[in-house]
Formats: sequence, C-alpha cells, structure tokens
Amino acid sequence: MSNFVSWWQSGILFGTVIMLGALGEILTQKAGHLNLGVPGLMFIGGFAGFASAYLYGNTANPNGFLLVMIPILVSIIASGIGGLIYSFLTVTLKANQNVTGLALTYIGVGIGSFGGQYITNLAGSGTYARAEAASAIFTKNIANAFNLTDSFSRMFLSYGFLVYLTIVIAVILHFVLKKSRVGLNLRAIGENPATADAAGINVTRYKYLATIAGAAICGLGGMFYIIVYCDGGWATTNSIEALGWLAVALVIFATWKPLNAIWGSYLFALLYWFYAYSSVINLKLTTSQSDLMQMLPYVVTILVLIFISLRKKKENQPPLSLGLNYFREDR
Amino acid sequence: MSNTKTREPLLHITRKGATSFLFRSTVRLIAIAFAFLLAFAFLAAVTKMDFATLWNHMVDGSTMAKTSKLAFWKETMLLLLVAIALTPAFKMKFWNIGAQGQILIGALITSTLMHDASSLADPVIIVLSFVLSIIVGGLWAAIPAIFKVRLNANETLFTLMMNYIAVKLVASAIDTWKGKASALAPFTSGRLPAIGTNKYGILIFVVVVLMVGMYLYLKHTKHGYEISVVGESLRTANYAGMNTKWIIIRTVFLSGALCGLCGFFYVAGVDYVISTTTSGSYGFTAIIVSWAATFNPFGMFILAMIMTFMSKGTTNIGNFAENLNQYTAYITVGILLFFLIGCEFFIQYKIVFNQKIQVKFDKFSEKVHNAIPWWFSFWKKVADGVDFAIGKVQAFFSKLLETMKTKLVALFKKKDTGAQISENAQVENVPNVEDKEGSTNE
Repeated sequence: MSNFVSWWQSGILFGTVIMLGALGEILTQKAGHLNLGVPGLMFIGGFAGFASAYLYGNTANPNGFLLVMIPILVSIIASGIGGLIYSFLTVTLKANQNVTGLALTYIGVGIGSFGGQYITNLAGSGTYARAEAASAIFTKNIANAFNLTDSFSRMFLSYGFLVYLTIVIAVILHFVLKKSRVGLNLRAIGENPATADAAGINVTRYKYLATIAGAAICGLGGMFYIIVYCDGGWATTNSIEALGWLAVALVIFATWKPLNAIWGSYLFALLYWFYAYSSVINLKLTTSQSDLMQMLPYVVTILVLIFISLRKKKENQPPLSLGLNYFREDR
Repeated sequence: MSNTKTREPLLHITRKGATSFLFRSTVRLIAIAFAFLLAFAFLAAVTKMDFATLWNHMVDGSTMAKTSKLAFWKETMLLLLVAIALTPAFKMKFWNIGAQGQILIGALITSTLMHDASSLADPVIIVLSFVLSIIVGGLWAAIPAIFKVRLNANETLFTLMMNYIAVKLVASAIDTWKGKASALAPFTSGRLPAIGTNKYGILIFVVVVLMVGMYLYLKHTKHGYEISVVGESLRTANYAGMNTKWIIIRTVFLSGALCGLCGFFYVAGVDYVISTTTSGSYGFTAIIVSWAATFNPFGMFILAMIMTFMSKGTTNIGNFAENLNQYTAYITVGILLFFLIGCEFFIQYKIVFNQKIQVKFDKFSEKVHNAIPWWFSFWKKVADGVDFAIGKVQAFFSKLLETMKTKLVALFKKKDTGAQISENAQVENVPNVEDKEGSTNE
C-alpha cells in the first residue's frame, strides 16, 4: 500500500510539471500557434527560477515571502521573454512556426544548461547545486504541518501550494476560454483569423498576449520541476527537455481542453512512473523491460491522436488554423 | 469637419514578388554577419577577450590540427545528410520532426548486426546494415505518413512521439547488451573502412553524391515536380490526377530512409557504438538548415559548414576561457538560427512606409544616389552578372540531364523491336515537358 502511495505522490508531482507545460501550450495553440519551443521555455523558466532562488536564498537573511515570489516572477518573466521572441518572429515577421519553435527549444536548452553550469560551478561541485531555502518553503504542506500519516493525507494533502494552484490555473483557463469574451475572441482567432479580423478583433495583440502568457505558464512548470520536484536541486544532466515534449503530447491527449489536462497529466505521470513502481501489481521488470515501459505515455498519445482523427468529432479537433501564420493581405 | 481623424498607419507590409538570387544571398549573408556579431559580443562579454582573439580561436576550432579538420568535415557532412534527408518531406509540407527517431532506428538495426552477427564477414555486415538501416528508417517514417493520408492525423506530433519510442527502444537494447557493465563497449566487427588515412572518406563521398542527387531529384525529375505540386497545393495535385497519397508515403519513406542511413553512418562509421543521444540535436538543427536554405542542397552545404564552424569554434574558445562550458555552442548556434529565421521576412515581404516617411526616404536615397552614383550601377551590373552565371549553370545541368535521359532511353529501346525504335526517335524530337513525362513513364 505504501508503495502505491509513493507512486501516487510522484505521479501528482510529475503531473503538475507537465500540466503547467500543457496549459501554457493549450493557451498558445488556441491562438493558432503551434509552439514547439515548450521544452526550451521550460528550461529557461526552470533555470531562471532556480538561479534566482539559489542566489537570493544564499544572501545573508532571505525573507520567506520574497523567497517564494522571486523565483515565480523571475521564471515567468524569463520564459515570457522567450515567448516574446517567438511571437515577434512568427506573428510580426511571419516566420515558420515549427522552425521557430525548434530554434527556441535549441537555444532555451543552451541558455538553461549554460547558466546552470555557471551556478553549479559557483556552488563548488560543478555538477550539482541546490536551492534548499526556497525548496523548503515551496514544499511546505498540510500533512507535514499537522503530522498526518494516514494514506489519504499523504495522497492528497502532502504537496506544496503550487500543486493546488496549478489546478486552479487550469480551471481559470477553462472558464476564460469557454465563458468569457476574451476566450471567445481567442478561439475565433485560432479557428479563422481572417474572420476574427473582419469582426474587429485585434488579431496581432491577442496572438502576442496568448503566446507570451502561455510561455510564462510553461516557464512556471520548469521552475516547479527544479524547485519542488527535484527538491531545489539542479543537476547538469536534468531531463526538462523530455518533459517539455511530454507536455506537448499532453495537449493532444487533453484534446485542447484545460480540464482534461488535469486528469490527463496525472494519468500520464502515473504511466510514466509505472516502471519504477511496477511491484504495485506484483510485476518484476528487468532494466531493459522498464525502458520499454517508459514508452507508455508516448504510445498512448499516438493512440489518442489516431483516435481523435478517426472519430472526427468537431469539438475534439485542433484549432483550424493551427500552425498557419495570418497575413492580412493573403486572401 | 468631423472630429474623427483617420490616421494613416506608419507602415504596412506587402508580399514581394520574385527576388534575385543575389538579393536573397545578400540578405542571408547580412543576417549571418549580424548573428556572428551578436555571438561575438556575447562571447566577449563572458570571456573578456577581444574580437580578434576570439576570431582566431574560432577559426582554429575548425582548421587547426588535422583531427579538428576531420571532425569539422564529419560534423558538416552528418548535419548535411540529415538536412538532405528531411528536404523532400518538407518541400511537400510534411513536417517530419522525427528525424531523431529515424536516425536512432537506423543506428539500432546497424548496432544489432554489429553486435549479434559478428560471426559474419565485415563486408557482409556492412552491406546488410547499410540496406536494412535504409529500409527500417523508411518504414519507421512511413507509419505517420500512412496515418496522415488515411486519417489526416497531425504528422508533426506523431513523428515527435515516434522519436521517444525509438529512444526507449534503443535504451532497452543498450541495457540488454551491456549486462552488468557500466557502459556499452564499442563494436569491433562491421566497421566501415577508411579511405586512405581519412576515416570519414566513405561518409563524405556518399553525402556529396546524395547532395547532387537530391538537387537533381527535386529539380529535374517527375517525382520532384510532383513533390513541389503537392507542397504548393494538395487540391491542385489531386485535380491534376496525381496519386497524392502514394506520393506522400513514397516521399516520406525516402526521407526516413536517408535518416536511417545517417544512423548507419553514426554507428558503423563514426562512433562504433550506440547511445540514446547518438543523433544529438541534429534532428532539429537540420530542419532549420533545410528550411533556411529554401530546400536547396547546395545552400544546405554552405549553411551546414557555417553552423559547424560556429559550433566547433565556440567549443574551441571554451578551451581558453573558464567561464564557458560545453553548452555555450548551443547559444551561439541558437543566435545564428534565429537570425536565419528572421531574415526570411526581408526576403518575402516588403515594408511600405506611409507617404510622409516615404517622401523623406526618397529624398535621402536620392541624395545618396547623387553622392555615389557609380555604386548603384556597379551593384546592378554585379547582380545581373551573377544571375546570368546562375542561369548558365542551371541550363548546363538541365541540358546534361536531358542528354543523359535521352541516351538512357535510346539504350533501352535498342534492345526492343524496331517499331519501338522509331517511337523513340519521336520522343527525342519532342521538346522538354512531354519528353520528360514520356521518358519517366516508361
């Protein structure tokens, strides 16, 4: 049973990382932009959050509130700048979205690794550094505070506030996209920007804002990964990039709906970590078999992709103009 | 007077028509120059070296010793090979971002043969893995293509997921092979031989042949024509009676097959061992190389050289500065990528300013023109000259191809009956378009 609980716990934590990435990407894709720079943005956000937490946490007398706010803000701003570069290239300069996104991933991984190496050198070891102070605050939770050790508390109350905040973000995103005027306009732009433009919606502004906000949420996911999931530890061999692609996959799995992303991300994470906890169902795996087990989320994504193409249900399709740039004079 | 004033916007953007080769190259060269400038500013800020020192170290990185020269050509050729492989699919607007997976699958099949079939003679292993890596890479890529044409499943995301499945397959194979050892030992049988002292001779030869071959395939064959029509407009292709489904699957198979070949070279000719990072980030950079060269293999060659130069140079600068690390090259090459992507705007679009600014601008350019009139006429002459030369080269190539084709047709026809020989003579007389169709349909 305790094995199941720890599987569940790593599922929730891991799921939160990819949920944030997927929520950012859903927002971006709803505006018609397929941003393949998610791994790079998560890398930038993760590095920025980590670096600021490390540097501020090592000052003489860090303030608890600032220790929470600084990493969040810095990671949001850093990845938001990444999103700004992406939207400048794709919206204003009308560059190809796939190519730009991949370049963003490339340079994002570079910036994150380069800066991370700098911090780990600063810490002395050269391969590992840890932002303990910030991590301790981010992982403060109810179960620990009241010393609750029953399975329920450990499964649902043992996480830092960001886990619950992420669910709130997903719900807010759902209501914004589905129920508000802003969301309606955004969806109109994603489906048919020419029509939206004719209706008097400022297409360029919406695209910029959606992409930058989406990038900021992705960056927050990267920060969560480093500060909470890795307990504040930055290793030179971390795997944010693979997580970023998993987030892109989750967008399809959730069929572009934020609420689906909530349970989808936890399911993904449980599938992803199944190889480590396979003893839950009395299954013994060799290392090579557990490598194969790690394929599960990707295989499931492909099956979902095939399934939604097969059913052709209107509400499950990607935004119609996804991946296409809008140029007013192209009619 | 109404109080709502209509203000003319400061500028607006229109699409340009056809541009000359010289113009496009100039824009790209300027972009590359700016990228180098920015990268050097970054490097100078971090290392506190001056530009001249940085430049010397950068040049040394690709040319200093024989080993670095060889490594430069190896990396250029591998990047070029992946870019060439991706090109036919991209030209068709099929976004195959699964190069990494296709490379890994090709590498996996090669490693399997080198590891498990070591009792066979080396040439047998080499030929077998060469052929199998091509076939398996092609089939791996064909899976998303089939779903694309049957169900219109998004190929970008499908190929992306296939990457990770390939990664896990490779990880599983490595874990099986290495047993309790900490790492997989390099394979000893089935290695590609060196040509003279050049370890990468075969790789370089094959890639150069493929570069010319791909240029001719895309420009001068029926297949190449079909690819560009499908890429421009799927509907047009359908109305023209093309079997678009088959064209898509065939082309993506070709793309994956060449990626598989790249995997073969990685294992049999370069590393002699496989890892999950065998393909590195080439799968992604090659996409940008192919796209920025507008699908021209010779342009890709130049871009691949510039990119490798930048990456190897940055790594070499790192040897002299402790503030840099092995990830610095990602940043400098990334800057280069962004500039290459951004400059495409200035090739495709024209910025039109409003009257006020335009008048000022015209006056200014007139002043400049009056000051140095010779420059403009000189530039015009250079531009005309280069366009003329390129036209000549293209004409030469197409003429060469035509003669080769007619000779081949004649060769095959001679073996047949006399009636067909007279038909062949007819085909030879009909000019280009019908001739092309006639000869390739046979």
